[in-house]
Amino acid sequence: MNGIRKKISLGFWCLALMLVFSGLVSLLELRRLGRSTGDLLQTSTYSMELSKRMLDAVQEQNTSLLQTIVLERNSFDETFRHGHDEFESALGEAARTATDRLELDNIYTARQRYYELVSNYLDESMDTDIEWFVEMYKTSYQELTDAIKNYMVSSQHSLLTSATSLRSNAYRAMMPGVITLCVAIVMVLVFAYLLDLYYTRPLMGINKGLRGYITHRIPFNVKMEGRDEIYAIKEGISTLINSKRE
Amino acid sequence: MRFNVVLRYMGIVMLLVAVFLLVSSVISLVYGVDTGFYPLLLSAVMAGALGGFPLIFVEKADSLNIKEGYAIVVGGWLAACFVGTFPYLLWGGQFDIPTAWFESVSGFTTTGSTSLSDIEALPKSLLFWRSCTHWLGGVGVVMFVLVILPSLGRTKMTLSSVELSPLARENYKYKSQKIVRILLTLYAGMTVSAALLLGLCGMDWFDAVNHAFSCVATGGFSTRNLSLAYFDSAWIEVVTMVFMTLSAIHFGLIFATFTGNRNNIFRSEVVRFFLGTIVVGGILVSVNLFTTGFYPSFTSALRYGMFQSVSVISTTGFATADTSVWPPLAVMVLIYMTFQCGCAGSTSGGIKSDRVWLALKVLRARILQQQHPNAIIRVRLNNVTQDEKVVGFAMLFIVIYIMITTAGTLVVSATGMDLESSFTLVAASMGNVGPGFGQVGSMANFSDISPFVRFCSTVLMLLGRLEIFGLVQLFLIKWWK
Repeated sequence: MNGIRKKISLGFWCLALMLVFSGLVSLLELRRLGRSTGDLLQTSTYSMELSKRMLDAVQEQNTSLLQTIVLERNSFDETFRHGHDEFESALGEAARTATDRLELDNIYTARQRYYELVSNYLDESMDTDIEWFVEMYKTSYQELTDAIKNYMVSSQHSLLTSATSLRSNAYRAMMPGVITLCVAIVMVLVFAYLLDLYYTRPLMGINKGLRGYITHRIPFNVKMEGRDEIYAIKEGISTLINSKRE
Repeated sequence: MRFNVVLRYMGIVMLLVAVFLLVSSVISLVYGVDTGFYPLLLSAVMAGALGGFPLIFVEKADSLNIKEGYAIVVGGWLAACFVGTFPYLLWGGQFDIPTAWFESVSGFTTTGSTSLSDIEALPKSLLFWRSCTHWLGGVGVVMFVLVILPSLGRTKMTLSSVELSPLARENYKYKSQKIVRILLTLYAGMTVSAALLLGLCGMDWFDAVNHAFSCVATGGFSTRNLSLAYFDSAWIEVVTMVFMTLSAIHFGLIFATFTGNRNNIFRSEVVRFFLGTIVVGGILVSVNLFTTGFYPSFTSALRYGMFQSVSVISTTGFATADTSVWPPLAVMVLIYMTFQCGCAGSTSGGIKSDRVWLALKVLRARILQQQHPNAIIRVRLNNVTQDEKVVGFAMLFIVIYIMITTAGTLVVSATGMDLESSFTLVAASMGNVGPGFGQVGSMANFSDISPFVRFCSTVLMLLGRLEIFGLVQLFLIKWWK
């Protein structure tokens, strides 16, 4: 590659592309980090919302059951069915987004026991009422609500772990930008050195050589790297001086 | 010194690294675009940009002087290590800056120590890149680059004279350009053969290629946390042992042997000494393991004892057993091997068998001189009288090597590490062996070692790889003028 224009343009293009690239990478990484943080907060809010919905639904069923016992009805009312559906819907959504499968499995187990007990109550033990409610039902109810609460707490714990790891690895997310920037800086330094070597120094040398020739008749003898237009200028000056001398 | 010329050649080294990064990203594509794809591709782009930039301005040089040769080799190696960290840092996971630097230097210097606690957690493309660093380091990045340079025909082989030890140069009987071709043909041929044989022995093809890269470069990186012990196959161990031994022998002599030249491995005193050390050392270790009851039968003691001996003396560092718990005699033999290592002109590190054999000859000559003060006693190697300068340099190298090992041990032990671990860490790093004993044993890794000690270790690896003087010259500013 011989032309000055081509060399300098290409050098600048390389640098510009590298800087654009570095900017783009940094931007993408920052967006990714922002998205991760957003997702983290969203998951946290959502898991709390689901837990609340489950607790409310169980509470609803509990109230309905109490009413059934007190009023000695032989079937559950609409409130119980609504609570049941709401609980199942919230649990289904939790299963899709769960971060802690173990705690979710505990809810499933407690739910299984709870519904078995409730359906058994309707089928065969209508007259066991308060005693049954305190000894059998309450324990199962407690188990289910505890499992839901544990799920809520564990979700928050796992989110805390993710947030901590996100914080400690924040510099890694910035690493692509940092590396690209480092490469760009190295390239700028190399570019500055090469521009100085191939263009600034030869031009200064030609200037010095010409002045030396004009003022003191020192032979025009300039050494330079490369065979580009500046070299052609130097050769031209040498030829001119030689022809003038002749 | 023409820094622009140095920059141009360093740029070519970077371009070569970029090509291998690109190949690794292709491996990622083959394995269904694993998580290593983006870091490897990005690194390839950056390495390519860094490498290509000086080529825009600097025209090829017709000749290089020795200082420029040194600068290109040392600069090329450091730049390759620097760029080698990019994919690790971009991938993240277990890699922070000290870990990535350690892994990269360990790869390019063919040391093979790792500071990763779970190697198998890495995507296949990144594992392949790790092995590539070995392969590139083994052949000598600069040596390799010279082959593809069109200016090679006229460029003096100054680089090879730096890259290979002076003793290796003495042994070569070919013209420098031919050396590069021989080295590369042999290197590639041995890699392909090792991969094929390992694959035929039952290793998964991906593992076979990676272990072949590692084995021929006498590196030691494995794709498994348990190294070769994972495969638990005597055949795989035999194949690996053969290639480790071959890779630690002067490549020119292997070529000469294949081509039926008189100057072959069977006639070389140094190779005989090297092979003799393996046999004697290996048997000593095996007998010691058997008599102390480490292994129930002599066959299994021989299997593990021989493998570890070859692995250490060839500076590969593969492991099939935890040598840290072996009896003292076996440990001492392996420590001795960590110092002697393979032959000059091979990819192994350490003091080199040539220098140790020469030192023994000098010792014999001095004893004879004392017995016969008026006699003229010359040191001869392979029936060639050795120049006083070569002998003097070899002895100086051994002294400096031991001095650096001692100083390194002092520094590392000052951080609170026990003496066995500090000493063997330093010796194994200087010799580019990889595993030492104690905390840095064959089944351990450097993940629990402090970043400072790991950095010291990388400096020692570079010192060892660049035959001490190469790296030292870099810091003597006056020398560059």
